[in-house]
Amino acid sequence: MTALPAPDDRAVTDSTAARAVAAPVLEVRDLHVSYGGVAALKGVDLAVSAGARVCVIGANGAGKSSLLRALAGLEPLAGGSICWRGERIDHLPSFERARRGISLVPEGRGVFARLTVQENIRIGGHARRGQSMTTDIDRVYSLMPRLAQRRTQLAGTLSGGEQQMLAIGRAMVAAPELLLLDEPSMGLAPMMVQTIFEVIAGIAQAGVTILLVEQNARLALRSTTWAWVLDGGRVLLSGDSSGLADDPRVRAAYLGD
Amino acid sequence: MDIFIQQLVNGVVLGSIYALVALGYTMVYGILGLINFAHGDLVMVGALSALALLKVCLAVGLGLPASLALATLGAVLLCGGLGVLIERVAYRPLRSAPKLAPLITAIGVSILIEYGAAMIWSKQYLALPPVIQSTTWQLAGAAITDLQVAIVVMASVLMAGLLWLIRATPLGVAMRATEQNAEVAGLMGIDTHRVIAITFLIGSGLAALAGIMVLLYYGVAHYFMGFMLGLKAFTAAVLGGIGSVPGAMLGGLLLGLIESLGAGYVGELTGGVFGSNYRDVFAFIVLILVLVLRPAGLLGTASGERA
Repeated sequence: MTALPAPDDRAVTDSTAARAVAAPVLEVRDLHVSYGGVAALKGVDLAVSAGARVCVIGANGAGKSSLLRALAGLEPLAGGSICWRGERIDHLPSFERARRGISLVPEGRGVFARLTVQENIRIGGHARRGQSMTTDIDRVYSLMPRLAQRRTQLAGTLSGGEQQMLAIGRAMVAAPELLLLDEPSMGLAPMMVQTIFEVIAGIAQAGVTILLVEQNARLALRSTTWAWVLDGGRVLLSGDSSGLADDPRVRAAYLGD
Repeated sequence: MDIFIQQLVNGVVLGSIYALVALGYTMVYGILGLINFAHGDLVMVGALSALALLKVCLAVGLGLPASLALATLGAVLLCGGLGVLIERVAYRPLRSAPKLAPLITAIGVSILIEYGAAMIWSKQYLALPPVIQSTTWQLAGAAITDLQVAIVVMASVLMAGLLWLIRATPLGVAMRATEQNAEVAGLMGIDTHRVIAITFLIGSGLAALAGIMVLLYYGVAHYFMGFMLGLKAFTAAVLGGIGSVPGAMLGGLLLGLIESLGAGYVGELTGGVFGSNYRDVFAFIVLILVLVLRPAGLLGTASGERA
């Protein structure tokens, strides 16, 4: 645990209605999602302020992906509400949410295998409706020169790590205000994970709000300032990330100590 | 040799028409995984509505070029609208249903259009008024009419335009993205329902144009003409690799050639037992051979799960 910041006793609360700050841009209340009668989320509350870096950790099947999919508009709600910058968005289809600045990098990356790298990146700008995206495309290529080298290749021919870079680069071109990342470290070599998280940190520095979902809890807590622990479709714990990293329950259940 | 060149010319003309219709099958299959059996009937609606409009325009004293242009525009708009309506009413509600449901619905829509057309236009063969005077040229022993040239040129321009649209425009990229992964396309801000509607609009518009070509070429239209033409165009799409746009073009052309040459030589080859009235057989021999030997088609990518 030496890699983690020093213990901090301000944090850990058991409150389920945890608020990262006042005046949130994203407010989720009593969120319920179910698949064919099986509940995946059973009343989740969370609030995220503009420019925050937050994460949701939890075991496989805790409901992390369902939460992100519900936020992005890929799953219908069985109850509850989602407010984005004061507007109810839970009835909107995914493309409308993308056009309002919410971008999901889905689990398994979801790159278009039979489009070129360049086409994949350009399609990220579809949500922006005609604004110029050349600066953002240039930024993606300078941050991830591997993609620049492969811009005319079909995305399906890239390695897993390159596909993850492409998925993140594609999201950057959408110039989102809220970036939802579903397991960006999954299946990648440690070196690649480091590169990907450096890119994510860069995006956060530009003021983009980041909501990260990770099974790699150590990594997630280290890269964020606030975290929720999801268990069985409910928020079990929440608090600032460094505090949670020292919580004995979190250490035992998710950090393997 | 004269027969050969003549049948080659006829085959290219026929193949151009098949290709235009095959594009509608392949685009819809690519994006929805659905074989839209009603597509052939839109060719019929295109032909019959263009014929009706043409008669009206001529009756009110418009010149031939203006009448043809108006009839074409009207038929394309009607079929495009009809295609979008069919998708909206019959297929979209079944988007998440098992694949068999939209397939059976498509057959139902096909029957509905056929008998709807029979009610409007009767079950008679309707003839084109003898207004088109085509000029015939002799080329290497074969007769070529200006109408044939016009059909091939028109079809080529339409296909080149479609390829450009799909390859080079944002709409084309959105179409290919929706085809590959509709869910992620939505995350990119693409309104996939709209992309699918546009796909139907384009395919149906091309079907209408193909119908007008058939009308001008053969001089008749009939409420059931879309059935056989649709089956053949579907065969062309399968031959080229269903889901592949260049494949539909190639498959259409090849099928036209096979059918023309087959019809030209079947009499000689069988010692007169079978005549050129057996021409329809060739398309289905091709269909069977492709399905047995190369189910993915000439330009298609093999994928067991979709077939």
